[in-house]
Amino acid sequence: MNRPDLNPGDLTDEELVHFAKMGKQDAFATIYERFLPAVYARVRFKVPETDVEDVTQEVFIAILKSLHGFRGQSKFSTWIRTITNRKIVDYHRARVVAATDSNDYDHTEFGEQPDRDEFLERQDDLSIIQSALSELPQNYQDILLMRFVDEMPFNEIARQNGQSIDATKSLFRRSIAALSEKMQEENE
Amino acid sequence: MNKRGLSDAQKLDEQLAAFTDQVLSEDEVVEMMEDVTQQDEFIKLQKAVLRMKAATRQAYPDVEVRKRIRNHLLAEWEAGNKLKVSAFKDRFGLQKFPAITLAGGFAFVVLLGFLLIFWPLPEDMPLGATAGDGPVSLIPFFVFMGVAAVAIILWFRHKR
Repeated sequence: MNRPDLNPGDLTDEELVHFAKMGKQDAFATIYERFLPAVYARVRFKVPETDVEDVTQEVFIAILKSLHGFRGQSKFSTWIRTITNRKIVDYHRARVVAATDSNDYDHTEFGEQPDRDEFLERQDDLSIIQSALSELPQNYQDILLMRFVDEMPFNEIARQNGQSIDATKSLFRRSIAALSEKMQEENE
Repeated sequence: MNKRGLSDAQKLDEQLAAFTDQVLSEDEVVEMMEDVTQQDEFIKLQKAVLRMKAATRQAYPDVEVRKRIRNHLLAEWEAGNKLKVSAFKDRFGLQKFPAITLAGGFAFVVLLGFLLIFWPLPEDMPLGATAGDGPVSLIPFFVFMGVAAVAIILWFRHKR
């Protein structure tokens, strides 16, 4: 990073982590630029629009604070996805507590009705897919986000999930079919 | 499910995976593939893939959002660094008495070096000294102190 001919954008994720741990701010900035789109899109598919920016910010602050704990036992992208998923779970858990505390929980179906109404009003593809996706089983949601948001190839998804490539492609097809059904229901 | 049904499903899995790979690898709109044997199902799935890709592109952050989060993170980074430096200074009392601390450290190092070089060996000390059969030299003690000092310095540097 001190060499003038070395561009942070050319470094691998693990090299960037190494430099960021050494206190190089531009290395961390490059990590941020590299992973923001996937983190933001993942959060956006799982969290109401009004809170997407806050949750994304929390994800990156968590990455910043725990960067020294990353030992390279998994791929850095996997580590980031784990942190993102954990923050999304924390967010929904906090909302359950808040809803219970304010006694709103009895009157609304958590995670569905208020957000769903908001999405349907906007009537764009993103909102319809957000809503449809949230109704799919967790393993269907996971494989769709891994392929579309993280742009992981099928063989990498298979490796991460400990499945054969055929089983992974089959799961993907069933997930797309289920998503298609849900979208159709949303449109009706 | 009969054998033919199973192979049709596998074929559909492969076709859809190939179509998705193609869609995600290109920025332009991809033409849908055709399969006469299961056309309705395949077309429906391809449409879902195209919509999912479009929605993902829509879900990416815009320039303003990128900037806002970036600025906030860089502020966190700076704050974190200041906090570490401040904790280090507090630990050594550098903020209150920086000159005294530095002078004390320097004097300790000089004294250690002086003792290591000039400390006289006892005249009656056998060269092949063994435990319990003669006066014990203080040199190993100071060597140990030196090593301990280096270890402590390295430890603090690591903590920083």
